Amino acid sequence: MKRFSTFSLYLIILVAFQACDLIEYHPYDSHVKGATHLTYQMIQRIQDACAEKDTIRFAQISDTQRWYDETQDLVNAINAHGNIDFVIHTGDQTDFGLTKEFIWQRNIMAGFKMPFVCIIGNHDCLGLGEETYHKIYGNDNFSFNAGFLHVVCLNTNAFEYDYSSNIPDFQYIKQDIDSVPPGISRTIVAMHAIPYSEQFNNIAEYFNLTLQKYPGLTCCLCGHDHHNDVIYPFKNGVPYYECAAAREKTYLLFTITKNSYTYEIVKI
Amino acid sequence: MKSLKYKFSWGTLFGILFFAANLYPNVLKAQQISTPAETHLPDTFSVNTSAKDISSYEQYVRRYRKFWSRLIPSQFKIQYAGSIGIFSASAGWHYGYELRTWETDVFLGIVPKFQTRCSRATLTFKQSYVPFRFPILEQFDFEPLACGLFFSTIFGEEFWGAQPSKYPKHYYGFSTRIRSNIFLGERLRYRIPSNIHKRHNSVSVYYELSTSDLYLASYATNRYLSLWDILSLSFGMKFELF
Repeated sequence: MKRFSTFSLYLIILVAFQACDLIEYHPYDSHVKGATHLTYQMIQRIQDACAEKDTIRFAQISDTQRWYDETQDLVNAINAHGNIDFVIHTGDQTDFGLTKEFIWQRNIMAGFKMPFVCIIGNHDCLGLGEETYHKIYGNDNFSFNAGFLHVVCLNTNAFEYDYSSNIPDFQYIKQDIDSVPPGISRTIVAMHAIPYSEQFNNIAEYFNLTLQKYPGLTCCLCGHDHHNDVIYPFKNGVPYYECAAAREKTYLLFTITKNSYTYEIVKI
Repeated sequence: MKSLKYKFSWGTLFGILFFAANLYPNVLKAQQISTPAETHLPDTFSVNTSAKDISSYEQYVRRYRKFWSRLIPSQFKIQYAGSIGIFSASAGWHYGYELRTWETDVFLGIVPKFQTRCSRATLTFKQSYVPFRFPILEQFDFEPLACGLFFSTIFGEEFWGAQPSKYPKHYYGFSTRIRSNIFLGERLRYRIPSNIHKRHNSVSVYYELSTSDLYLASYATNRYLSLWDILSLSFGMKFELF
């Protein structure tokens, strides 16, 4: 009898632990278990690891919404490359903005051996998704320095806010331009929606003029359109590299040095 | 010119229900004034006088009360979790074979605020089917299967039923506000002996596993997700009045 009761106690504890993950108050409840405020931690890791480097190599993935298997394959492929300093996800990790979608994607991307940062996409803003994003990752505008390279990540989904918020946030961009440390010779700007897309505010020209103030503006990265492309929206020599959705099973690989940079589409 | 097209809103629905609920006491009041003091109020449940003895007015009121008395909730539930709030409570009706096979419940739930701006309310319509009941022990019944579906809506300006008109066609092909869910569960029912019951004639405890449309859409196309990832567990109690 005693053996039986001990066994049943173990069983109850096991079931209770299993059941903990099954408790959900609402699909949009923003109740996040596990790692949070990832952007800050990742930025620290990138800045420490890349401080002295002459060549920065990073990968870009985008639009991984509802393609969990493909995202897992991308994580494995980028890890297998072995010489990538960090990964930038240019938005839309969720399809519906559900809290669990954020958690599944976070858990898959936690498999990256290198640090990664995620930008907010228009699908991530749905429901209470924006607030879940803020909890898991942090601010939707942020920047970091990888050695000589300055990377700026911006929220450009103005359409989701009815154009009523400061998106893109020029106040933030101006402060960031002013606080770029000496020794930075290149800047890359990453965002989800490209200027002139339906998500972007109708101040694309001003956005372009403002970005020109960054030291050595090299290129811009974006996603949103689900296919690989190189676009020159302002015809001024600054390319916008668009990364395909995870469905295409490709990632973009950028190798940046002080004198030159290369870009390639890697098919896995 | 303003379009006359009717647009559904919860406010209108509540307004109609509120209006209907207010009619009932007014009828009672009118009846008290008009009926002489010595006659009894028309009783819904025991009609023993023949139609000849009572006035057409009383017949009407009797029918009226009988009709609306069917809408008196016959059961209440309280529930923890289950994707419709941390706690939710319902009023509902059971009907069908032996008056217990089918259940319809209307839940009000509370979603805590966690990281968001404020806590929110949910409203849920739930239809259950409970086909089997096996007596165990003296006063207990085991119901091995309770299944059905529920539609849940959450209140808040961040959510929409269909995509707002600002978006191009088919930009977002789903609703963030309304979740359609299916569930499966089991119940244990205790029939309170008639010499000791005070308010309820039976109390049940239940658990249910449910999942929603968006989770199923995610699960269908990904091997990464297991069934446990998309399931939501809830615990609850049901109180039957009659």
